[in-house]
Formats: sequence, C-alpha cells, structure tokens
Amino acid sequence: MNGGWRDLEEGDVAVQTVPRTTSPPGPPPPRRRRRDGQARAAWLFLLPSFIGFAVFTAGPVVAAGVISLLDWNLFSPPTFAGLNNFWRLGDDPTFWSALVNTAYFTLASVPLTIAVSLALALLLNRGLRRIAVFRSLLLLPYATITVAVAFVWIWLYIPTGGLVNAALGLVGIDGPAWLVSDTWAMPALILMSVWKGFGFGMVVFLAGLQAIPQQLYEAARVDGASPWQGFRSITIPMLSPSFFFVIVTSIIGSFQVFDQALIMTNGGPGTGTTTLVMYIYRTGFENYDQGYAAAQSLVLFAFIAVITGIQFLLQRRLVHYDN
Amino acid sequence: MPHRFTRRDALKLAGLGIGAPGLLAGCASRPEGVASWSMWSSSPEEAEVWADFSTYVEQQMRIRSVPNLTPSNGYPTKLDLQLVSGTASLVTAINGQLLPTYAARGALRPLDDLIATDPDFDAADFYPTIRAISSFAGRPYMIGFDVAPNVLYVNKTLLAERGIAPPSPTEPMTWAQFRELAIELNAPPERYGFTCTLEIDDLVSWIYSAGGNVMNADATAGALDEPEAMEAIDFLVGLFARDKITPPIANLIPTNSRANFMEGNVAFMQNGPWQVVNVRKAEFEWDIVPFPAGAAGSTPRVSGSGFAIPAAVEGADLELAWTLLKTLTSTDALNIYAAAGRNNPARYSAGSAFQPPPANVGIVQRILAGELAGGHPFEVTTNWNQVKQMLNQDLPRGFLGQLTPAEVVTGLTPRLDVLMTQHQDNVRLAELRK
Amino acid sequence: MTTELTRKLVVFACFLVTAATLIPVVMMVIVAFQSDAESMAATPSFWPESWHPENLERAFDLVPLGQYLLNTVIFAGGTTLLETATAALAAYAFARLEFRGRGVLFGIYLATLMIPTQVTLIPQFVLVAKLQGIDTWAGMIIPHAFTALGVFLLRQFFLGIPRDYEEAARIDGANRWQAFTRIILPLAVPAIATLAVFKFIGQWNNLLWPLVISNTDATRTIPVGLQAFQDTHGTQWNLLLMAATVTTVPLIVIFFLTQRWFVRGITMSGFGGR
Repeated sequence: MNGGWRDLEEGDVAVQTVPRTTSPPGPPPPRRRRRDGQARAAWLFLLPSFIGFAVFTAGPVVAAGVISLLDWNLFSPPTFAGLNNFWRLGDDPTFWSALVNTAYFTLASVPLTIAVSLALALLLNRGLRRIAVFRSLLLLPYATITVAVAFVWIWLYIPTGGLVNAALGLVGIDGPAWLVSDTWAMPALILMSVWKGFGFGMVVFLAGLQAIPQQLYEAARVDGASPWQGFRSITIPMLSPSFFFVIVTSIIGSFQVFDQALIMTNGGPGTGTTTLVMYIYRTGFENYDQGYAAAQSLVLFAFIAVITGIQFLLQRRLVHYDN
Repeated sequence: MPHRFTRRDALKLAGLGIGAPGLLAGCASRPEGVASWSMWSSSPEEAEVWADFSTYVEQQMRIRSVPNLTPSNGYPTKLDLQLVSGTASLVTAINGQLLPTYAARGALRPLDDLIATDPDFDAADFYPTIRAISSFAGRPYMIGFDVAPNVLYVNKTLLAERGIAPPSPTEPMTWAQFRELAIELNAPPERYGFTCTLEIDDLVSWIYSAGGNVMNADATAGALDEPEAMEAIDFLVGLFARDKITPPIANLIPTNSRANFMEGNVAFMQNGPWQVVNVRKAEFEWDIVPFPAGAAGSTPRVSGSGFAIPAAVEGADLELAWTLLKTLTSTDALNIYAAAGRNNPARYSAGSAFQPPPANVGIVQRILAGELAGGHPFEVTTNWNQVKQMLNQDLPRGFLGQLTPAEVVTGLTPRLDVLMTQHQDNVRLAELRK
Repeated sequence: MTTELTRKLVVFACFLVTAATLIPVVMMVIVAFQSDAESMAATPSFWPESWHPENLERAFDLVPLGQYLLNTVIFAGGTTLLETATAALAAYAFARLEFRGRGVLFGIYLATLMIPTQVTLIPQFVLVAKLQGIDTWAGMIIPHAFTALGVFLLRQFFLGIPRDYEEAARIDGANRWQAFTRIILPLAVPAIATLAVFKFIGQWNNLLWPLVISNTDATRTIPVGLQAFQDTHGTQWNLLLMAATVTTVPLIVIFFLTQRWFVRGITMSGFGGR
C-alpha cells in the first residue's frame, strides 16, 4: 500500500505527509526584519475577503447592534431606547426558557453528532472503491433539503403507525407520543438533527484521518501495540485539531437551530421546543419588535462567544499539533 | 358534465366587455409607469390565476403589469423587507388577519380619502364582512378580493355506508345534533366523527357561534373566560378529550385535519371553502353544509384578504396605485378569480367560486350574501401574531386532555390580558401618528 | 482474522449502517411515487398502493425545475467559488503572515458566525436594495459569499502545514505568492474541497435569501421552487418530495465523482506510494 517509506526525520521535505486539518497557532520565531513586508503582503491577501466581509457580513452585524438600542417596528421611524431592550430580558420567561431549551439541545446533539460522525469516518476511512459509494450515500441526510426530510420525520414520529414506534414495538417498548409529548418532543428533534447533521463532521474527520501518516500505525504495530492502543495514542491526538474545528462549529450551529424546530413542532408543546433563534425570529418578524430581537441575538452572541473562547483556551492544552 | 365557467371564459367576457369602451377611452393619453403588485402564490394553479389577472390589468390599464409573486410561506417576511427597503410594489396583497398589524404600524395607506373622491368606486358592492375585515380604527386600509366563512365538510360515502341521511344542505345543525351524529359515526380506530385543527383559527368559529369572542367589546381585555366562550371551548375540547370522536393527535401540524379527512375515515371536517380545490381530489363522495349553530346561531369566522397600498406611495404613483387597486378588485377581475374556484370573491356582483359538483358548494356565496346561516368577521388585534402564538401554545393541552378547559383558560387569561393592553397601546400610538 | 474477512465485514457494516441511516430518505422517495390522495393522507403508507412514475414528469411540468436547477447551480456555484477563493487568500494571511491586529481581526470574523442570519437579514436586504441589487445575480451571490466559515476552516488547516515546506521553497528563491500557489494550495486541496462541499450544499438548500432577493423565475432557485408545491392550504407531498429527490441527486453524484480530491493529497516524494 505505502511502498517503502523512510523513517520520519525532522525537516524531511521528501516524506509525503498530508497536513492535518487544523492546528492551533504556536508562537512564531521572531522575524523582525520581514515584519513590514509581511504586513503589506498580509493586507494584499486579505483585501478581497475583507472588502466583501466588511460590507456584507460585518456591516449588517454592526447594524443589528445599533438596532438593539432602538425601539423599531419596521414601518414607523425608530426611537432611541438605550439599554431598555436588554433590561426587558430580565422579565421575559420565554427568553430564558428558550435559552434553556437551546442549551439542552446543544448539550445533547453536539456530542451525539460528533460521536456518530467519528464512528462513521473511522468505518469509511478506507480506499476501497465501494466505500466511496457508501461515503457519498451517507452524505444524503446532510444534503437533502430540510423541509422535505423534516416532514418525513414527522411521519416517522407518528405515535400509532409511524416507523419509530413500530420499531420500538418490535423490541417491546411502548413508544411515546413524540412530537406532542412534553418530555419527548425535544429528544425527537435532537435525534432528527443528529441524523441530519452527522455528514458534516464525517467529511471533516475523513479528511483529518486521511492526513495521518500510515507509517505511524505501522511503527506502532511493529512495536507490538494493539489496534485500540493505536487508536488512543495516534488517532485521537492526530485528529484533535479536526475535533476542535467540528466542536466549535457544531456548537455555534446548534445554538442557532431553527428550521427543523419550526417545521416539526413550531416550538411546542407549549414552549418546550422553542429555541432561541426561533424566539428571535418571532420577536423580529412576527411581533415586529426589531430592537428587542437584536438585543436577544446579542445576548445569544455573548453566550456563544464565551463558550467558543473557552474552547480556544482549552485547545492550547488539549489539542495536539505537530510542527 | 356541465360546462364549467372557466377562467378563459371569464377573460373573454371581460375582454369583450371592456374592449369596446376601452378602445374609445384609449384615445386619451396613455398612462405612464408600471403597474406592479405583490401577491402570494405557490402552486402553478395559483400562478395561472395571477397570470390571467395580469393580462386583465394590461388590457384595462394599457400599461405593463408586473406581478410580484412569492410563495405563501415567505410572503409576509418578503413583504416586510420590501416595505422597509422601499422596494415594495404599488399594490400589495394583505391577509385580513394581519391588516391591523400592518395598519397600526404605519405600513399601509388609509384609503378613505381615495374612496370618498372617487365616484366610480362602489364600496357597497363588497360584502359587509370583508369591509369590516378591511378596516382598522374606523378607516379602510385594504380593498377585499376574497372572503369566505368556515363550513362543515361531510363525508357522504361514510354516512351512506351507515345508512345515515346527510345533514340539511341549508339548515345548520344544532351543536347537540351535530355531536350526536358525530358520536354515532365514531368507531375508532376505523372511523372517526370529526376533525379540526387545535388552533384558535378553528376554535374561534365555535366561540362566535356561542355568542362569545376572544376579546371584550372594546378590545381592552380577553374574554375567553366569559361563559359564552367557555361554553364553546368546553364543547370543542370535549369532542376531543371526553367524547373522543377525533383521530389521535400525532403532532401540532395544522394541515393534519385536512389530511385526516382525506383518508376517508372521518365523517365531518371543519375548514374553509378554500380547501374545496384540494378536497375535490378525495376518493369518496363529499359535500359541505353550514357550520353547526350555537346559542348565537351559525356564525363561524369569516376571513378574507385584500389588496392595499403601502404608505410610502404618493404623488403620481398614488393615482396609478389606486387605479390598479380598483382594477384588481373589479367585478370582472374577481370573476376571473371566481372561475378559478379557489375562494369566494369579495363582491356581491362577482360570480360564485364554487360550482357543483358536489351539489352544495354554492352555499358559500349564499351565506356571505346573508341568505342562509351566517358568519362573523374574524376580529383580530394589532398584535395578532403574538396572540395567536400564545393561544396556540396553550390550547393544545386542553385538546390533548392534559388540562381541563377551565384550567387552560385560567392559565392563559393573564397573558391574554397583557397582550390586549399592548394592543391598545399600539392603537393609541397609531392615533398619535395620524 | 484475515484481511479478506475483515474487508468483507467492513463492507457489510457499511451496508447495514447506510441502509438504516437512509430509511427516511427511502421513505421520501416512496412517497414521491404515490398518488395524490395517498400522499396527502395523514399517515402515508410505507408501500404505495399504486406506483406513479409520472409524478416525475408532473413535477417537471408544473414547475420549471430545469430552470431552477440551473439557477441553483449558478447561485451555489457562484457563492462557493467566490468564498473559496477569497477565504483561501485571507486564511493564508491569518495563518502565516504577521500584522498588527491579526488576532482581533480573526476574532471579528469568528464573531460574525455567532449572530443568527435572521437578525442580519434586514440590514443585508436594505443594503442590497440601495445598491440596486434586488433580483440580480450579483445581489444574490455576493452578500453570501463572504462568511467567516471558509476563513476559519482554511486557516486552521493552513496552520497545520509545516512551515518547513515554504522555507524550503523560499531558500530555492520562490516569493510568497509562489509559495502560496505551489506549496500551500496543492497541500490544501482536501480542505478546500471540504469547504466547497459544505458551502455548495449549504447554498443549494438556502431558502430564505433567494426567496427574498429573486422576484422572477429567471433567478429562482430550487428551494424556492419547491414552495410551489406548498400553498397556504396544503402541500402536494408526492410532487414536493419527487422534486426534492431529483434535485438532491446531483449533489450526491458530484460528491461521489470528486471523492479523489478528499483523499490523500499529492505525493511530493520520489518514493511512489499512493
């Protein structure tokens, strides 16, 4: 498979190692002489992205920040509200329950999705031609349009006659009422979201696994290590940069879950599956309270930023990089 | 099969009728500008209707018609964005449920001055119910194009199989009669007596028929805890939770009610006549009858939609917009709408949308005209999205049997009162803005 | 355990997992072939009573799916190309070049990922309206081609490439641009391909933005087109799911055909290998 590889030596350019997908920045050696040249080159490289980003992505975000200080119903001229929209959050039980719902959703779906993605990536990380077919087919849940699959899942969740309870019935479990049950509506959403989302992590992990040099495993085998030890001491550390990326983006994404919750449960029963972004959307577009919606999204941003910041700090210690 | 009065026929008639005087009128100066109008439209059948409208507009106004069609789910969001950015059409379609919402926030232009100074416009030709729906704070903000009451769909095949005569086509059943009949036909899991959605949209018809309302007379507080409304809520919830004559509730998706009926094993369905076009695909015989009569008679909710002019339209554009508005809601245009059979036109002088078969679908127009049964215009607030959202959150607990109707209402009344107060705030702000 | 047996077991496991995972997708396809009445029922049956292959033709007839397919390719392809290109350049700057404010700028990029699009929709739309971009390809593609996801993904990837490669190239006399195009980019092909897949699929299925920006069929995309089967009073499930199936297949086929870009990158040594 690999031919005769030489042993890895430091600075060995001739060895084929495809880089890992992620790695945190290490402190760069000082190169004072070239710093100015770097800055100029940097801005040249950055410019195309930055212009578009500043105008179309960052600009609207700043606008949303400004809107959070206003009292605006979209059609009449806005009035200045200061921090009033933020104080209102204290009296709004729906906002906090939406936050709790979203946190519950994230805490359950992110680990599950990553576990499934990783397991499948490990299973599919082979060069066989047929495996490529499976890899492509397994991307179908991720690629299929949410509206269509959300409704299929609604049918699957029908208490009497739907496939989920039928399957549970085969093993003797009396399935719950899923989408109209207070306890089981959120798990129903979580399961559907894991199914829909594992493709993302699977593809990233596959790329990361491909980047691990085979000779590491061979060397380990020669040393008498078992496959499990190989997994623990080679795969997991080498894959940790991919983990980092997938975890960060999955958490950011799941905090913003919206489409499937809207279609499958419309936030119910009661407010049991009302997620933050759903509440923000309703506040802005159904209740025409734009300032309040913007304020809510800034609070959401603060939560996600703190969590992401913590992850970035942790990665210095936990993420292995090899340079 | 009798010849159905199709859209093509209506168009031809309209063309002939207008063509002659139109040629004469065409000697006057050709109007400038583009007649842009927004409408929701998802299915290709709907798109065809609006294409015919467009043709009619171009024939009538002799300028280019630009219909701005958006799928119904995204229509309000897109309309909001267009209004905010000043890129809205001259005339925009508005759902009657959202009229106070838009009007109170200054998004639409009141039409009373335009109506008053225009001798050609016949306001009286519009059904009183749609005129009520089209107004906010005493001023008209939209001109209706469709309006219809809720009705009761009957699965005649199912009734015939049990040897039961279908209910009277013109006399509404009493609630007691209806309930008795539904219970008799109920034999779960093969057959069910009745289906409707778990939402305020369907419950409100029962509340109106019992003489109650969601809000009190001056819309300052909720009225769901009044005896009349409680009677209705108790009755409807009872059908679900006590009598158990409804199919099991699998989820909170509103379209389930029609889906259940279409399966062919439910005897009665409450719905609007706009479902006729879908129910025609059923594989059993069906018909519609008036809504069951409560203490206040058969007064289900009457809902409709219309066209409005965004507040930003002024000057020469305003003249064009008003002409366009009149054209889109003229008798000939609404005849095109009627010929499509999708919903009932808002004018007395327009044709009936619902032609047989089945035999009784024509009663919709008669109900609107006040010839039989009755209807109650859907009264909504300036924050109806919030009210609806709150009610639809809480009501299902009653239908699912988790709480008694009294508990449900006690639980939601404080929040409803708060929302009504906020509604009054909006009304006051709208007054100040005038 | 022999390698042959392991291989067979792996294939079998793949088969099982795929079959179980794809049950909802299979159901989607089954309902797509059902009759109108059957598909509008509250509980569509798992096996249709009658099989209606003409639904495929009907779906294409009712809605200009071919036009929408083309439009979606333009929209998804346009945003993907634009974002991939600009993100690769910017990611290189963030990963390799030093300049004042680098950390802060990257933080700003990341921060925009944490604001939901529902809140930036209005400012974005008003901006595009002011720039006369409503109902134009530019107005549709450009605002969504500059998200931070691409920069984040590629920056992480570039950080993992040993600096020694560029050093070696530098010693050989290459300038920064050549180092970027001849060393970094080829090594980054799997990451760029990954970004392209996510961006393409994400924009392929993007409903809200094309819905509010495009006013005519000339620019309508598939998700908006699928709404044609879903009016206020009900949904034509069989046709909707048929259209959804048909329009997802190209994505999977493209992914399958481009698999080789996701596997091990270009070999640089003279020792053969893969």
